[in-house]
Amino acid sequence: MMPDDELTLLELTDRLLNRGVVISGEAVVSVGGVDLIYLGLNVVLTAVENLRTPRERETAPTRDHNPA
Amino acid sequence: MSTLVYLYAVVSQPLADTPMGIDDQPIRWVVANGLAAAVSDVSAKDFEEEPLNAHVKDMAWLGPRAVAHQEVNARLFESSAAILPLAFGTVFRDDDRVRQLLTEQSQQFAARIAKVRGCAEWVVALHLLREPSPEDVVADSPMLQSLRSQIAESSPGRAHLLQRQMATLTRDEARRIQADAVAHVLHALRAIGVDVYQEPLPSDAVERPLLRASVLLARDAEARFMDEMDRLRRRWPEPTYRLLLTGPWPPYRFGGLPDDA
Repeated sequence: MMPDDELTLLELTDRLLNRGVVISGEAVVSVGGVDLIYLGLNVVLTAVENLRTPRERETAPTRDHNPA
Repeated sequence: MSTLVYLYAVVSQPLADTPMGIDDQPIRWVVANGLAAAVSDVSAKDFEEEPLNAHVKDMAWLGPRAVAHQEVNARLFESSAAILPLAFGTVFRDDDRVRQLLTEQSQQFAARIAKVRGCAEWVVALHLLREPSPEDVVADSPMLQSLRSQIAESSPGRAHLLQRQMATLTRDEARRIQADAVAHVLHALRAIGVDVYQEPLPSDAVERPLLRASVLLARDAEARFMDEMDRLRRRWPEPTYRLLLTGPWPPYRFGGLPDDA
């Protein structure tokens, strides 16, 4: 298993990015008639490896209730 | 520097005392139609679609900004009864466009705020850590247990035949038991959650879980939820299974932009 902080950041990026709508071509997409740039997200899960940031542990929103 | 407007979350009214946003920019509020959007300025150089999609593959770039995004939303989540947190990378040209979104989507936003009020989001994943041994499978399968006693009572020739049948059936039963575990956990989550969303599973993940689900859960049901998780862990125990839980999250899955956005 991954160390907890890696798991946490992976969960974080997954949570924040998973709703992305993939767009192509135009720099701006329209959401409900409003111009909005939305992130194309299918790239992310494969890129989330070995990521560390110095702040992540104290900012971690997650609690892993697994005793392991 | 040319800037864009980065949207973190929509709440009912502006809140004081927010942490700094992405790249240490202060949080501002755009207010319209009884809704308040928490925004900050970001540089167009980084947050236009093309550079943003390139940056997001770079975890050294993404990591601290994802953390900043979550820090803002975590604070708003703590200090308000309902928050609609947006996904990372929700960027507008200017405040007017944000105001326009609040105005045009005000009914959907209001409905979503009502739905997530008093709730947090949890992520539950059920992993299969190792293939269960044939003995484990038999222990979980009345059908195989009965076949085994049949074998014990049979003549050597018939026992051999049944033995081979047993091997095939054990593999099938192992699959069935896994499907049962998923169904059982999902059922338990649906019984306790306000809403449950079964996440699509990435096909190429190294540790692909059997199940991954987001659960919208009332804050006052959390103690009961923990008890339920303990019960599920006893039913589907390690070292074969592992039930992982993270939360409480702001409701990113259940509170974000309307589905039809």
